[in-house]
Amino acid sequence: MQVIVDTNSSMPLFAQLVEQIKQAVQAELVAPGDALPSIRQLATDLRMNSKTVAKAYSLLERDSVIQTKGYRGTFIHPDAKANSNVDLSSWVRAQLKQTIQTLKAANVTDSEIRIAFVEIMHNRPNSGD
Amino acid sequence: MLVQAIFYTVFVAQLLLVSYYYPRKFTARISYLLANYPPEQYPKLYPKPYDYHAENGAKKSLRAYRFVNGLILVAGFGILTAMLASGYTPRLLGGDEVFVLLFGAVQTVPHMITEIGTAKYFKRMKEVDISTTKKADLRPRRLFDFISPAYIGLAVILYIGWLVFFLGNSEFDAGLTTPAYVTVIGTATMHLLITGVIMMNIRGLKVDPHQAYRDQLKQIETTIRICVFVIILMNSFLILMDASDRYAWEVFDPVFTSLYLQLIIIFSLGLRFRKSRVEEVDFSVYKEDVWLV
Repeated sequence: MQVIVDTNSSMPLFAQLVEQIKQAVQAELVAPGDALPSIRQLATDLRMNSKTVAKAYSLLERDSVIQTKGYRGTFIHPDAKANSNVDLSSWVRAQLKQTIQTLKAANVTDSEIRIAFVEIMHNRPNSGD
Repeated sequence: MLVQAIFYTVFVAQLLLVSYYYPRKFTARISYLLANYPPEQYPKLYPKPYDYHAENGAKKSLRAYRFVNGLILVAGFGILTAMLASGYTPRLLGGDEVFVLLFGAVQTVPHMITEIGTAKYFKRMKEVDISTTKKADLRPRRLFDFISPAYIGLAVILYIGWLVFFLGNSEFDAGLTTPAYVTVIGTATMHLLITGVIMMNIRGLKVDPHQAYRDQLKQIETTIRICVFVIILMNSFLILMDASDRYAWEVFDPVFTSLYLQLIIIFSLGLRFRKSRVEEVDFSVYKEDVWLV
Protein backbone atom coordinates (compact mmCIF):
# COMPACT_ATOMS: atom_id res chain seq x y z
CA MET A 1 0.00 0.00 0.00
CA GLN A 2 1.44 3.35 -1.05
CA VAL A 3 0.70 6.87 0.12
CA ILE A 4 1.11 9.70 -2.35
CA VAL A 5 1.44 13.30 -1.23
CA ASP A 6 1.31 16.32 -3.50
CA THR A 7 3.37 19.28 -2.33
CA ASN A 8 1.36 21.54 -4.69
CA SER A 9 -1.99 20.62 -3.18
CA SER A 10 -3.89 23.20 -1.12
CA MET A 11 -4.46 20.50 1.48
CA PRO A 12 -1.75 20.46 4.18
CA LEU A 13 0.70 17.57 3.91
CA PHE A 14 -0.19 16.13 7.33
CA ALA A 15 -3.89 16.16 6.37
CA GLN A 16 -3.11 14.33 3.12
CA LEU A 17 -1.33 11.67 5.14
CA VAL A 18 -4.12 11.34 7.72
CA GLU A 19 -6.75 11.08 4.99
CA GLN A 20 -4.86 8.48 2.97
CA ILE A 21 -4.09 6.28 5.96
CA LYS A 22 -7.78 6.42 6.98
CA GLN A 23 -8.78 5.58 3.40
CA ALA A 24 -6.36 2.64 3.42
CA VAL A 25 -7.96 1.37 6.63
CA GLN A 26 -11.46 1.80 5.17
CA ALA A 27 -10.51 -0.01 1.97
CA GLU A 28 -8.89 -2.77 4.09
CA LEU A 29 -5.57 -2.23 2.35
CA VAL A 30 -4.08 -2.32 5.84
CA ALA A 31 -5.41 -4.56 8.59
CA PRO A 32 -5.55 -4.13 12.38
CA GLY A 33 -2.18 -5.00 13.87
CA ASP A 34 -0.23 -4.19 10.70
CA ALA A 35 3.00 -2.36 11.38
CA LEU A 36 3.46 1.13 9.95
CA PRO A 37 6.78 2.69 8.97
CA SER A 38 8.58 4.78 11.54
CA ILE A 39 8.13 8.56 11.44
CA ARG A 40 11.70 8.91 10.19
CA GLN A 41 11.31 6.33 7.41
CA LEU A 42 8.07 7.85 6.12
CA ALA A 43 9.49 11.38 6.30
CA THR A 44 12.61 10.31 4.39
CA ASP A 45 10.64 8.42 1.74
CA LEU A 46 8.26 11.34 1.21
CA ARG A 47 11.11 13.86 1.49
CA MET A 48 9.22 15.89 4.07
CA ASN A 49 9.91 17.17 7.58
CA SER A 50 9.60 14.47 10.24
CA LYS A 51 7.50 16.89 12.35
CA THR A 52 4.82 16.80 9.63
CA VAL A 53 4.66 12.99 9.76
CA ALA A 54 4.73 13.11 13.58
CA LYS A 55 1.73 15.47 13.51
CA ALA A 56 -0.19 13.14 11.18
CA TYR A 57 0.64 10.15 13.40
CA SER A 58 -0.39 11.98 16.58
CA LEU A 59 -3.76 12.90 15.04
CA LEU A 60 -4.29 9.31 13.90
CA GLU A 61 -3.34 8.09 17.37
CA ARG A 62 -5.78 10.57 18.97
CA ASP A 63 -8.52 9.17 16.68
CA SER A 64 -7.49 5.59 17.66
CA VAL A 65 -6.72 4.67 14.05
CA ILE A 66 -3.15 3.77 14.95
CA GLN A 67 -1.42 2.92 18.19
CA THR A 68 2.19 3.28 19.27
CA LYS A 69 3.70 0.42 21.24
CA GLY A 70 6.88 1.98 22.56
CA TYR A 71 10.08 0.83 20.88
CA ARG A 72 8.20 -1.88 18.94
CA GLY A 73 6.77 0.74 16.61
CA THR A 74 3.43 1.97 15.33
CA PHE A 75 0.55 -0.33 14.39
CA ILE A 76 -2.95 -0.14 13.00
CA HIS A 77 -5.44 0.01 15.91
CA PRO A 78 -7.73 -3.04 16.41
CA ASP A 79 -10.79 -0.75 16.01
CA ALA A 80 -9.24 1.35 13.26
CA LYS A 81 -11.97 0.73 10.69
CA ALA A 82 -14.77 1.96 12.96
CA ASN A 83 -12.66 4.83 14.28
CA SER A 84 -11.52 6.05 10.88
CA ASN A 85 -15.16 6.88 10.10
CA VAL A 86 -15.16 9.46 12.85
CA ASP A 87 -14.40 12.79 11.25
CA LEU A 88 -13.55 15.08 14.14
CA SER A 89 -13.09 18.15 11.98
CA SER A 90 -16.64 17.81 10.57
CA TRP A 91 -17.95 17.33 14.10
CA VAL A 92 -16.08 20.49 15.24
CA ARG A 93 -17.59 22.45 12.37
CA ALA A 94 -21.08 21.21 13.19
CA GLN A 95 -20.66 22.11 16.87
CA LEU A 96 -19.31 25.57 16.07
CA LYS A 97 -22.05 26.22 13.53
CA GLN A 98 -24.72 25.36 16.10
CA THR A 99 -23.10 27.55 18.77
CA ILE A 100 -22.67 30.50 16.40
CA GLN A 101 -26.29 30.22 15.31
CA THR A 102 -27.40 30.33 18.98
CA LEU A 103 -25.20 33.39 19.64
CA LYS A 104 -26.44 35.20 16.55
CA ALA A 105 -30.01 34.49 17.59
CA ALA A 106 -29.15 36.36 20.82
CA ASN A 107 -27.95 39.36 18.70
CA VAL A 108 -24.25 38.83 19.51
CA THR A 109 -22.15 40.53 16.79
CA ASP A 110 -19.55 38.74 14.62
CA SER A 111 -16.68 40.70 16.16
CA GLU A 112 -17.83 39.83 19.71
CA ILE A 113 -17.95 36.15 18.75
CA ARG A 114 -14.51 36.37 17.08
CA ILE A 115 -12.87 38.16 20.06
CA ALA A 116 -14.38 35.74 22.56
CA PHE A 117 -13.32 32.76 20.44
CA VAL A 118 -9.71 33.97 20.20
CA GLU A 119 -9.57 34.72 23.93
CA ILE A 120 -10.89 31.29 24.86
CA MET A 121 -8.60 29.57 22.34
CA HIS A 122 -5.56 31.33 23.80
CA ASN A 123 -6.66 31.03 27.43
CA ARG A 124 -6.64 34.81 27.80
CA PRO A 125 -8.62 36.52 30.57
CA ASN A 126 -11.97 37.87 29.57
CA SER A 127 -11.52 41.42 28.12
CA GLY A 128 -14.74 42.46 29.89
CA ASP A 129 -13.25 41.55 33.34
CA MET B 1 55.74 -27.26 -8.44
CA LEU B 2 52.24 -27.78 -7.05
CA VAL B 3 52.32 -24.37 -5.36
CA GLN B 4 53.41 -22.81 -8.65
CA ALA B 5 50.59 -24.52 -10.59
CA ILE B 6 47.96 -23.49 -8.04
CA PHE B 7 49.22 -19.90 -8.03
CA TYR B 8 49.18 -19.54 -11.83
CA THR B 9 45.73 -21.12 -12.11
CA VAL B 10 44.25 -18.86 -9.45
CA PHE B 11 45.88 -15.74 -10.91
CA VAL B 12 44.57 -16.53 -14.42
CA ALA B 13 41.10 -16.96 -12.89
CA GLN B 14 41.45 -13.55 -11.22
CA LEU B 15 42.46 -11.92 -14.52
CA LEU B 16 39.59 -13.42 -16.46
CA LEU B 17 36.96 -12.89 -13.78
CA VAL B 18 37.69 -9.25 -12.92
CA SER B 19 38.91 -7.89 -16.25
CA TYR B 20 36.98 -10.00 -18.76
CA TYR B 21 33.89 -11.82 -17.43
CA TYR B 22 32.26 -9.07 -15.33
CA PRO B 23 33.17 -6.19 -17.70
CA ARG B 24 31.48 -8.21 -20.46
CA LYS B 25 28.38 -8.65 -18.34
CA PHE B 26 28.35 -4.93 -17.53
CA THR B 27 28.66 -3.81 -21.16
CA ALA B 28 25.94 -6.29 -22.19
CA ARG B 29 23.67 -4.82 -19.52
CA ILE B 30 24.22 -1.20 -20.62
CA SER B 31 23.87 -2.11 -24.32
CA TYR B 32 20.56 -3.87 -23.57
CA LEU B 33 19.37 -0.80 -21.68
CA LEU B 34 20.29 1.59 -24.49
CA ALA B 35 18.71 -0.62 -27.13
CA ASN B 36 15.43 -1.22 -25.33
CA TYR B 37 14.86 1.98 -23.34
CA PRO B 38 15.70 4.96 -25.60
CA PRO B 39 15.60 8.62 -24.41
CA GLU B 40 12.50 9.39 -26.53
CA GLN B 41 10.37 6.87 -24.65
CA TYR B 42 12.08 6.95 -21.25
CA PRO B 43 13.15 10.58 -20.74
CA LYS B 44 13.50 10.27 -16.97
CA LEU B 45 16.22 7.70 -17.51
CA TYR B 46 18.31 10.33 -19.27
CA PRO B 47 18.44 13.49 -17.12
CA LYS B 48 20.35 16.43 -18.60
CA PRO B 49 23.15 16.46 -19.66
CA TYR B 50 22.83 12.70 -20.26
CA ASP B 51 19.89 13.25 -22.61
CA TYR B 52 22.01 14.90 -25.30
CA HIS B 53 23.40 12.29 -27.65
CA ALA B 54 22.82 9.81 -24.81
CA GLU B 55 23.38 6.79 -26.99
CA ASN B 56 26.63 8.02 -28.54
CA GLY B 57 27.96 9.23 -25.18
CA ALA B 58 27.19 5.93 -23.48
CA LYS B 59 28.68 3.92 -26.35
CA LYS B 60 31.85 6.03 -26.17
CA SER B 61 32.12 5.43 -22.40
CA LEU B 62 31.51 1.72 -22.93
CA ARG B 63 34.29 1.58 -25.53
CA ALA B 64 36.67 3.31 -23.09
CA TYR B 65 35.61 0.91 -20.32
CA ARG B 66 36.20 -2.12 -22.57
CA PHE B 67 39.56 -0.70 -23.72
CA VAL B 68 40.87 -0.10 -20.17
CA ASN B 69 39.79 -3.57 -19.05
CA GLY B 70 41.38 -5.08 -22.15
CA LEU B 71 44.59 -3.21 -21.43
CA ILE B 72 44.67 -4.49 -17.84
CA LEU B 73 43.97 -8.02 -19.08
CA VAL B 74 46.83 -7.87 -21.59
CA ALA B 75 49.15 -6.39 -18.94
CA GLY B 76 48.16 -9.16 -16.54
CA PHE B 77 48.89 -11.89 -19.04
CA GLY B 78 52.16 -10.10 -19.90
CA ILE B 79 53.21 -10.17 -16.25
CA LEU B 80 52.14 -13.81 -16.01
CA THR B 81 54.19 -14.76 -19.08
CA ALA B 82 57.23 -12.94 -17.69
CA MET B 83 56.80 -14.76 -14.38
CA LEU B 84 56.54 -18.12 -16.12
CA ALA B 85 59.59 -17.35 -18.27
CA SER B 86 61.62 -16.42 -15.19
CA GLY B 87 60.44 -19.56 -13.37
CA TYR B 88 58.81 -17.58 -10.55
CA THR B 89 57.51 -19.47 -7.52
CA PRO B 90 55.80 -17.76 -4.52
CA ARG B 91 58.29 -17.17 -1.71
CA LEU B 92 58.16 -19.64 1.16
CA LEU B 93 58.00 -16.86 3.76
CA GLY B 94 55.20 -15.02 1.94
CA GLY B 95 55.13 -11.32 1.05
CA ASP B 96 54.23 -11.76 -2.64
CA GLU B 97 50.52 -11.34 -1.86
CA VAL B 98 51.18 -7.59 -1.90
CA PHE B 99 51.67 -7.76 -5.68
CA VAL B 100 48.46 -9.78 -6.11
CA LEU B 101 46.65 -7.20 -4.00
CA LEU B 102 48.12 -4.29 -5.97
CA PHE B 103 47.23 -5.82 -9.31
CA GLY B 104 43.75 -6.58 -7.96
CA ALA B 105 43.42 -2.91 -6.99
CA VAL B 106 44.39 -1.89 -10.55
CA GLN B 107 41.81 -4.34 -11.92
CA THR B 108 39.04 -2.78 -9.84
CA VAL B 109 39.81 0.79 -11.01
CA PRO B 110 37.41 0.66 -14.05
CA HIS B 111 34.68 -0.77 -11.79
CA MET B 112 35.27 2.03 -9.26
CA ILE B 113 35.06 4.64 -12.02
CA THR B 114 31.72 3.23 -13.20
CA GLU B 115 30.46 3.30 -9.57
CA ILE B 116 31.43 6.98 -9.26
CA GLY B 117 29.79 7.69 -12.65
CA THR B 118 26.60 5.95 -11.50
CA ALA B 119 26.52 7.98 -8.28
CA LYS B 120 26.89 11.23 -10.28
CA TYR B 121 24.15 10.12 -12.67
CA PHE B 122 21.67 9.49 -9.84
CA LYS B 123 22.62 12.77 -8.18
CA ARG B 124 21.78 14.55 -11.44
CA MET B 125 18.53 12.59 -11.69
CA LYS B 126 17.53 13.92 -8.26
CA GLU B 127 18.51 17.49 -9.17
CA VAL B 128 16.27 17.60 -12.23
CA ASP B 129 13.35 15.82 -10.60
CA ILE B 130 10.61 18.48 -10.45
CA SER B 131 7.76 16.15 -9.60
CA THR B 132 5.54 17.52 -6.81
CA THR B 133 4.12 14.14 -5.87
CA LYS B 134 6.06 11.86 -3.54
CA LYS B 135 5.30 8.23 -2.87
CA ALA B 136 6.03 6.01 0.09
CA ASP B 137 5.05 2.52 1.12
CA LEU B 138 3.10 2.00 4.34
CA ARG B 139 5.30 -0.86 5.48
CA PRO B 140 8.28 -0.60 7.81
CA ARG B 141 11.71 -1.66 6.54
CA ARG B 142 13.69 -3.74 9.00
CA LEU B 143 17.09 -5.37 8.70
CA PHE B 144 15.81 -8.95 9.00
CA ASP B 145 13.25 -8.38 6.23
CA PHE B 146 16.23 -8.31 3.88
CA ILE B 147 18.65 -10.85 5.28
CA SER B 148 18.49 -13.93 7.46
CA PRO B 149 19.65 -13.44 11.07
CA ALA B 150 21.92 -16.47 10.49
CA TYR B 151 24.13 -14.45 8.12
CA ILE B 152 24.33 -11.53 10.56
CA GLY B 153 25.15 -13.98 13.36
CA LEU B 154 27.85 -15.60 11.25
CA ALA B 155 29.38 -12.19 10.46
CA VAL B 156 29.45 -11.24 14.16
CA ILE B 157 30.87 -14.61 15.22
CA LEU B 158 33.61 -14.41 12.58
CA TYR B 159 34.55 -10.87 13.62
CA ILE B 160 34.77 -11.85 17.30
CA GLY B 161 36.58 -15.05 16.28
CA TRP B 162 39.16 -13.10 14.31
CA LEU B 163 39.58 -10.58 17.14
CA VAL B 164 40.22 -13.35 19.69
CA PHE B 165 42.56 -15.20 17.30
CA PHE B 166 44.44 -12.02 16.42
CA LEU B 167 44.72 -10.64 19.95
CA GLY B 168 45.98 -13.99 21.19
CA ASN B 169 48.83 -13.75 18.74
CA SER B 170 49.76 -10.04 18.98
CA GLU B 171 51.96 -7.74 21.01
CA PHE B 172 50.31 -4.69 22.53
CA ASP B 173 53.11 -3.48 24.80
CA ALA B 174 54.76 -1.01 22.44
CA GLY B 175 52.00 1.60 22.50
CA LEU B 176 49.14 2.65 20.24
CA THR B 177 51.20 2.90 17.07
CA THR B 178 52.03 -0.78 16.89
CA PRO B 179 50.71 -2.59 13.79
CA ALA B 180 48.44 -4.67 16.05
CA TYR B 181 46.54 -1.58 17.24
CA VAL B 182 46.41 -0.15 13.72
CA THR B 183 44.93 -3.43 12.45
CA VAL B 184 42.32 -3.62 15.23
CA ILE B 185 41.27 0.03 14.83
CA GLY B 186 41.33 -0.17 11.03
CA THR B 187 39.20 -3.31 11.01
CA ALA B 188 36.73 -1.84 13.53
CA THR B 189 36.43 1.30 11.37
CA MET B 190 35.81 -0.82 8.28
CA HIS B 191 33.03 -2.73 10.09
CA LEU B 192 31.47 0.53 11.28
CA LEU B 193 31.54 1.95 7.75
CA ILE B 194 29.87 -1.14 6.31
CA THR B 195 27.26 -1.05 9.09
CA GLY B 196 26.67 2.61 8.21
CA VAL B 197 26.09 1.66 4.57
CA ILE B 198 23.54 -0.95 5.69
CA MET B 199 21.68 1.57 7.89
CA MET B 200 21.75 4.21 5.14
CA ASN B 201 20.19 1.76 2.74
CA ILE B 202 17.37 0.84 5.11
CA ARG B 203 16.63 4.32 6.44
CA GLY B 204 18.13 6.76 3.97
CA LEU B 205 16.84 8.41 0.83
CA LYS B 206 16.51 6.15 -2.18
CA VAL B 207 19.28 6.63 -4.70
CA ASP B 208 17.03 6.74 -7.74
CA PRO B 209 14.07 9.14 -7.18
CA HIS B 210 11.88 7.41 -9.80
CA GLN B 211 12.63 3.80 -8.86
CA ALA B 212 9.64 1.49 -8.31
CA TYR B 213 9.23 0.38 -4.67
CA ARG B 214 9.65 -3.30 -5.58
CA ASP B 215 12.97 -2.50 -7.27
CA GLN B 216 14.04 -0.33 -4.34
CA LEU B 217 13.44 -3.23 -1.93
CA LYS B 218 15.39 -5.55 -4.19
CA GLN B 219 18.25 -3.08 -4.35
CA ILE B 220 18.31 -2.66 -0.56
CA GLU B 221 18.30 -6.43 -0.13
CA THR B 222 21.17 -6.87 -2.59
CA THR B 223 23.27 -4.11 -1.00
CA ILE B 224 22.74 -5.49 2.52
CA ARG B 225 23.64 -8.99 1.39
CA ILE B 226 26.78 -7.68 -0.32
CA CYS B 227 27.80 -5.80 2.85
CA VAL B 228 27.25 -8.80 5.12
CA PHE B 229 29.03 -11.18 2.73
CA VAL B 230 31.96 -8.75 2.52
CA ILE B 231 32.19 -8.76 6.34
CA ILE B 232 32.05 -12.57 6.39
CA LEU B 233 34.72 -12.85 3.68
CA MET B 234 36.92 -10.17 5.21
CA ASN B 235 36.98 -11.84 8.64
CA SER B 236 37.46 -15.30 7.12
CA PHE B 237 40.40 -13.93 5.13
CA LEU B 238 41.92 -12.25 8.19
CA ILE B 239 41.61 -15.48 10.19
CA LEU B 240 43.17 -17.42 7.30
CA MET B 241 46.07 -14.99 7.01
CA ASP B 242 46.72 -15.14 10.77
CA ALA B 243 46.56 -18.93 10.63
CA SER B 244 48.94 -18.82 7.69
CA ASP B 245 51.45 -16.89 9.80
CA ARG B 246 50.98 -19.16 12.77
CA TYR B 247 51.17 -22.49 10.93
CA ALA B 248 53.73 -21.48 8.28
CA TRP B 249 51.46 -21.61 5.21
CA GLU B 250 52.87 -18.31 3.94
CA VAL B 251 53.76 -19.82 0.59
CA PHE B 252 50.00 -19.90 -0.13
CA ASP B 253 49.43 -16.25 0.85
CA PRO B 254 49.29 -14.98 -2.79
CA VAL B 255 46.77 -17.75 -3.61
CA PHE B 256 44.63 -16.93 -0.55
CA THR B 257 44.75 -13.23 -1.44
CA SER B 258 43.73 -13.83 -5.05
CA LEU B 259 40.89 -16.13 -4.00
CA TYR B 260 39.74 -13.53 -1.47
CA LEU B 261 39.66 -10.81 -4.14
CA GLN B 262 37.75 -13.07 -6.51
CA LEU B 263 35.20 -14.00 -3.86
CA ILE B 264 34.71 -10.33 -2.99
CA ILE B 265 34.01 -9.60 -6.67
CA ILE B 266 31.68 -12.62 -7.01
CA PHE B 267 29.73 -11.61 -3.90
CA SER B 268 29.53 -7.93 -4.83
CA LEU B 269 29.43 -7.40 -8.61
CA GLY B 270 28.26 -10.95 -9.27
CA LEU B 271 25.46 -10.77 -6.70
CA ARG B 272 24.37 -7.38 -8.08
CA PHE B 273 24.14 -8.82 -11.62
CA ARG B 274 22.30 -11.93 -10.43
CA LYS B 275 19.83 -10.19 -8.13
CA SER B 276 18.95 -7.13 -10.18
CA ARG B 277 18.48 -8.48 -13.67
CA VAL B 278 17.89 -5.61 -16.08
CA GLU B 279 15.05 -7.55 -17.75
CA GLU B 280 13.13 -7.58 -14.45
CA VAL B 281 13.42 -3.85 -13.64
CA ASP B 282 10.22 -1.80 -13.87
CA PHE B 283 11.19 0.81 -16.46
CA SER B 284 7.66 2.24 -16.78
CA VAL B 285 8.51 4.71 -13.99
CA TYR B 286 10.99 6.43 -16.31
CA LYS B 287 8.35 7.35 -18.86
CA GLU B 288 7.10 10.93 -18.97
CA ASP B 289 4.83 11.75 -16.00
CA VAL B 290 4.00 8.15 -15.33
CA TRP B 291 2.41 9.11 -11.98
CA LEU B 292 -0.49 10.77 -13.82
CA VAL B 293 -1.43 7.59 -15.64
